[in-house]
Amino acid sequence: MAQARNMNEATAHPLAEQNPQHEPIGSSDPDRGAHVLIQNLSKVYRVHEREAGLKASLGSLFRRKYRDVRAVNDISFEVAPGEVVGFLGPNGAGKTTTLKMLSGLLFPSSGTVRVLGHEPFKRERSYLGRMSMVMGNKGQLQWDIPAGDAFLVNKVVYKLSDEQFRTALGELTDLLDLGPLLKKQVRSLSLGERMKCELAAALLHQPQVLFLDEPTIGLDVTMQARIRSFIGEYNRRTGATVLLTSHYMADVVALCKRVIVIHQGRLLYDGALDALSGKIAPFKLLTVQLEDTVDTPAEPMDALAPYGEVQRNQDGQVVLRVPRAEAAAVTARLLANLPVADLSIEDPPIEDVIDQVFSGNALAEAHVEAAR
Amino acid sequence: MLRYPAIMWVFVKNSVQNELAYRFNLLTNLVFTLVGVVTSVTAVYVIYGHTRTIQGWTLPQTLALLGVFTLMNGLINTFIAPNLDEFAEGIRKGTLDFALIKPVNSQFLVSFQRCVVWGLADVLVGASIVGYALLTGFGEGVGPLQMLAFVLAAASGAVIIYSLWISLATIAFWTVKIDNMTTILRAFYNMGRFPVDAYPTWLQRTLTYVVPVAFVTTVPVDMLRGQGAPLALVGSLLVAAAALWVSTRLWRFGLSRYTSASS
Amino acid sequence: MIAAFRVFFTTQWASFLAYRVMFFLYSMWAILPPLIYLAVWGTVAGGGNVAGWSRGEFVVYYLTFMVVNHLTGSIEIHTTGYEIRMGDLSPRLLLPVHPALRALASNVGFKTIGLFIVAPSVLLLAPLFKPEFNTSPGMFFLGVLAVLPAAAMQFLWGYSIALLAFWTTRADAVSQLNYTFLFLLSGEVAPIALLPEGLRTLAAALPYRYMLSFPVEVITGQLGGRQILLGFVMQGLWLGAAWLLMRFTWQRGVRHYAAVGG
Repeated sequence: MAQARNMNEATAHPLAEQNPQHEPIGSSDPDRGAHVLIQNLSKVYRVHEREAGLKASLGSLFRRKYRDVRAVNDISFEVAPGEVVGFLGPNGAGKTTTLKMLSGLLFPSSGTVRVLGHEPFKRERSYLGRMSMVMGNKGQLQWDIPAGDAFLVNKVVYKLSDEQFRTALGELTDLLDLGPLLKKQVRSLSLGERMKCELAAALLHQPQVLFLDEPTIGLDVTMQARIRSFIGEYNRRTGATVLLTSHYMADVVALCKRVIVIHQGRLLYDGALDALSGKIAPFKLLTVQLEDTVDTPAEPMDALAPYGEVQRNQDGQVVLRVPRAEAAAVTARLLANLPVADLSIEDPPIEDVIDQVFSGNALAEAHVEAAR
Repeated sequence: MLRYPAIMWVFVKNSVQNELAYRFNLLTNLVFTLVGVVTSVTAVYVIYGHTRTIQGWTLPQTLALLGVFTLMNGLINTFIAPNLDEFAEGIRKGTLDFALIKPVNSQFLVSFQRCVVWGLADVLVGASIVGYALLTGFGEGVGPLQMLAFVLAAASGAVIIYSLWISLATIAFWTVKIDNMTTILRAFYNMGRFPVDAYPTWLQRTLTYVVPVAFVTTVPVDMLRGQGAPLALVGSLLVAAAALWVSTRLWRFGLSRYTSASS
Repeated sequence: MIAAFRVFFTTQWASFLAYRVMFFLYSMWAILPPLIYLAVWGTVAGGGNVAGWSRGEFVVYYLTFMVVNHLTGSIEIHTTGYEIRMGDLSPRLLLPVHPALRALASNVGFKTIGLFIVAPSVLLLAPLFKPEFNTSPGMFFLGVLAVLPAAAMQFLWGYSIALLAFWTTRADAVSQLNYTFLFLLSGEVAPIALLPEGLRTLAAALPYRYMLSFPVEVITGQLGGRQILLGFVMQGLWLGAAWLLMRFTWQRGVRHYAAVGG
């Protein structure tokens, strides 16, 4: 936890500069300041431990064994009005649990949650009427009725006037090309078309805060891009605050200046997307091209291998992975010992970093240590 | 407060519009309503072929009761059963979440967001049977007062059966398999085809105090027969209020477990 | 074929044990609906009798009915019908044994386990209604014998109806209709002898009585020698017809299935 806090401070909310009203955690007046405020938030599930075998299962009828699972572990962050924040982490990291606590579907075990100044779990109508949630793997629209008819339900539920409804629907229809879809039964829509309608259903009442849980999951690349650009456009038009989780880095890269990375319930990183790989990748990539002279070894790879881990070798261009701290020294040695034609030092692409972080704890821990 | 009827109206309208698109369904469902009613009526006639009264209930009176049974069954099939099946499904698939983040009473939304209009045919046919029975020798003294008492008792009967159903459905918050549970409830509800007086005492007590089906069909028709009113009417209203109260408590309790606010 | 049946039977048995609650409830369906008519007729008879039937005789009739109802009932609309709807039948078509054999195994398995629920329940109900037994061991034996063809008829009949799922999504509606006939003509609403003239004639001619009510009538000692013989002949005829019906729907169904795809 302390580590996570350190990270937080180390990266110093990038939006602090962009949003002058953004204040430090704890001192903000929720309605004026942050739209979303989470402080030391934890969620512990009690899981019934099931044992294999008939005898054990009979025994468990009487004496159940429970195990505590910390799905979210002491997380703190804030989101300013109008911000689009990407929420990254592997499956089971606690992203959905956090979103559910924000939308009032889950009661936090400890810590504070405030959205638009409300405590979500009280599920006050005044709060629910101003937020919305879209989940990529499930929908609110009934399958056997056309989306257009289903929207009428949202109209009465959210107390929209005819005028408000018509304007909102018109705008969403334009942005999402819903025209031909509204009269079709939801079950006959493609996955992407359905997601467009789901988004429209969620946005008809113009929520000020929008939680998107994997909105592009399972969609083809074109449709992903379409949904993505819509979310961006919607945010620009309405100034709604958006919290987005996605498996697809492209979503995050396109939409979010700021990302929050959680892993195993803990906050690993909170800051600018640009700085993410620099901060959390424990290595750099050296791209080296050797000169084409007589001295050049026949196989550049063999010559370069001792300097770092060879990642790629293409047309004489070799990419080496070198520990961040040694990058400078390795570069110096390379230049001194080999006929280098071209050399560049880069942070690895975000996808790779995220992969690296999530595939092994060791790396993540190492990084947190390094960040101290 | 007009908002809830408005929401309900949208649900019904959506359902009607869509179901009407399937004319084959319309036809088969009407056929089945008729077959079901003819069968139940035949059963009553078969029994009354051998007796003039059952514990004081004449043929028209039992027919009227069957009418109420059919009507309530229609309401169950239109509103209650489809929603509560959907509710269990919603817990399994997680789509219940959408109902919980809407700014309306979640119990209301979950109870009425679906409706299968075909059941309304049973409601109509059931009402017609009651009308027919009243016009064909039901008995003396059915005045406006009795009719009013009947309507009130029938309304509280509807509230009771709804409360029973949703109370049972809230079990889905703990264990996902509730279709089995509602099967049992249906079996008990079916006993409402006959006046509880026709059953042995132990069964009468069960149907009055444990699974209060007696209040759904027998008590309303008793209002028309002039039996036991107004005490039975007051009892019925009280039971309805209590059942509804219990169902909302159970709902909130189940919900707090779902959002894990209770542990 | 016997060996295949045994394997199916043991696997079905195991899977049934895993669904105890569902089992209990399905078994209750054999008991609860007739219970209504048991109670009503018992009340109607009161201290005297109805058309020569005393209260105790109604009780014996309906208690026997519950057990036979369980033993003969068809569950194929829920097993085979479901399989077809879900498209789970295709792999079964590839096996060198007829899928009906698996359905039969599950039918027999269900009834065997269910009997452990139905029989005690009926025994528990008995003292509540005070039955009067009025039969001979010979009749009892003959009646039990008649349960087998009755169960076979209902199986073939129910299987044929379940196969309608190949063509329509509303096979359950046909099954419902079938249940209505069983209800009226197979002694649930009233013992056949108490039905009005028209229904009684219909009951004697149609297969439904021989699927359920006939064994009950024999067990409770209501029928004379000639009637019993006639009943067995009718059972034989209708069983043959049910067999042909099943063969016919199966062949047509599979052809349709192959043409349309599952």
